[in-house]
Amino acid sequence: MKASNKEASVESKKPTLAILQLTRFGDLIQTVQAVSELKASHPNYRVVLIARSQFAKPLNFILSKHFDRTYHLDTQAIFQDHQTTGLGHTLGNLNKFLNELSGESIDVLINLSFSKSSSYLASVIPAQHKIGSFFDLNNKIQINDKWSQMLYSTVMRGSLNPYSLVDLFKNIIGIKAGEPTVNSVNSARANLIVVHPFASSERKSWKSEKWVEVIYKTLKENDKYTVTIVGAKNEILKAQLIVENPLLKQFSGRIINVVGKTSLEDLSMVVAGAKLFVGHDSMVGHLAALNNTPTLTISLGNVRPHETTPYQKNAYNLAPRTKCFPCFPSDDCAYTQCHHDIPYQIVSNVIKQLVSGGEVDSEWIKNANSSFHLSSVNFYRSRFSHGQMHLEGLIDGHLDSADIFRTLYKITWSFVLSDVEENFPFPKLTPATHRDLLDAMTGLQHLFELSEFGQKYSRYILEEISSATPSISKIKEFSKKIDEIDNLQAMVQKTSPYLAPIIDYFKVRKGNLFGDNIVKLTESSYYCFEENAHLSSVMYELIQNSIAEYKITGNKTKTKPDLNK
Amino acid sequence: MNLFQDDIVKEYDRIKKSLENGQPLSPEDLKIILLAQLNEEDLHESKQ
Repeated sequence: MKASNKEASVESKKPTLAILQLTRFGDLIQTVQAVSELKASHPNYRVVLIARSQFAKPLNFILSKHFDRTYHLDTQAIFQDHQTTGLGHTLGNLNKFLNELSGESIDVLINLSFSKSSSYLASVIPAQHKIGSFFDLNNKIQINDKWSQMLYSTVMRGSLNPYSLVDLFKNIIGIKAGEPTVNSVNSARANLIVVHPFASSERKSWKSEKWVEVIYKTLKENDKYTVTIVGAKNEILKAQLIVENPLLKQFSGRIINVVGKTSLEDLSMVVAGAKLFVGHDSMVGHLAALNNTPTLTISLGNVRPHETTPYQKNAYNLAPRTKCFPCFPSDDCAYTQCHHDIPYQIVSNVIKQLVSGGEVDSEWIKNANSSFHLSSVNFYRSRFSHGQMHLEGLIDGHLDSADIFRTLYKITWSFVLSDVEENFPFPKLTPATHRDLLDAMTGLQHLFELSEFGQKYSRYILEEISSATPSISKIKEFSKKIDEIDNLQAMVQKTSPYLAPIIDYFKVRKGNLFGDNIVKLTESSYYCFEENAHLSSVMYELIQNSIAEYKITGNKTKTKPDLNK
Repeated sequence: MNLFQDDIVKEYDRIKKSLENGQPLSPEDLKIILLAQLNEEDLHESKQ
């Protein structure tokens, strides 16, 4: 312990960033992907990680390459014998951990995990500046930076977040990075396809029968290939159901089952040597992306492909078009319709095309797959623009309202929060998406007008305060008006659900006004309304342009690559 | 008997009262809430 603290103090002249990430393996790997370019572009920074012991220790072979030091929050040690020793002893254990951290002179603490525990931990770690969520001494959650406010208000709140978690982490940290290296089916890799047919919950993964079909067809059609099934110890029984299926008996010599037999470091090496990774949304996909292994992900249940597709160029993601997809973990679901909406035939066709080095694009998808099978899926491929990942739909002519709004939000957020101009083609509208856009325009008009009123009443308060004889009753009256405006903004969401991200973001912004007196708070409120008006007008203009283009082309398929001009 | 749980319940009552009286929390109070949260998350995790 002493030697470690000495190490911290020797390095203490360097500006120190501490990243707080208390969530699981997948999130830790995505944090590594966000931080990797920070270390490359700012070698003079000391970057330390604070993570839960049970997730960080098995990943130490990766973390040690990207962080100067990892601090392990070991709750097993903290809560050892807590039922008999009580709070005092447990508090002492927590203080030991915090004392270890106090050897660091933290300039910026960045909380990327947004859970209650990480927000409380962020509140008790001393740092010059804090980014992300933390609690103040009134037990009120504080989020002061705009990208964290955006993440907090949008991620896991619906399907309209257009950003990969890695890009959100990069934006929060302030990393302006390039794109990762291009992946391709490398001939130096073995003729091996790694399959992880499991996920952290039942609703996110197919039943074994469907994977048996995929593996059967893959081995039948690619006779020089071997399939390695990977997974954790708790997935051993599920793996047996697959490998012991009679249909796969003839291929038993070409199926390697290493489920429960590998450490994460071993697993990383297996994935790094493969030509392709296929699986559901899980940490193995992120591990594959980190090793530059091409990936095909099958998204089901509550998975949001735009948030969690492995962060790499040309990552492929198959998602169902099921109405309730993506759902929420708490939603009741007896039938898992989304599991049935992705046909296994598409998966094995794509595997065959990818391992043979062929192009998987709109043309190939249309020609090589039955239109009946394609009618129930969305198929995405990742590409990079301005150093950020974007998922483009590969099934021609199919864009639903959520797809269109995600693109519009990406342009809007990037422009308003980062001053970056993104370029996307005009979306091809259908009568249904056209109607949704028209509805949103009405809502945006309301939001804009309400924001103008908000600015007006904030200004009245400031004028009243600076007058020779300020009237308390007038200030109260104007404040009441502002409260009414806030409530009316929330009501717009009921009639225009696609505007939820702007409205939720506004709520979080209003809940985190700057200042310790009425003048500063009112000024902050004014800027909040001003930004909301700006967001609404940018979004309005984008929709207006999209609809104008739709009318000009008269429902035809012509597109122009300049939606935001 | 769970001493930790008993202590947490008592401390939560005290913290709740001081917040109701408009008193700010101390860093020690925040640590107690943090421990309660971590304990709850660990229990949830072990049930999964």
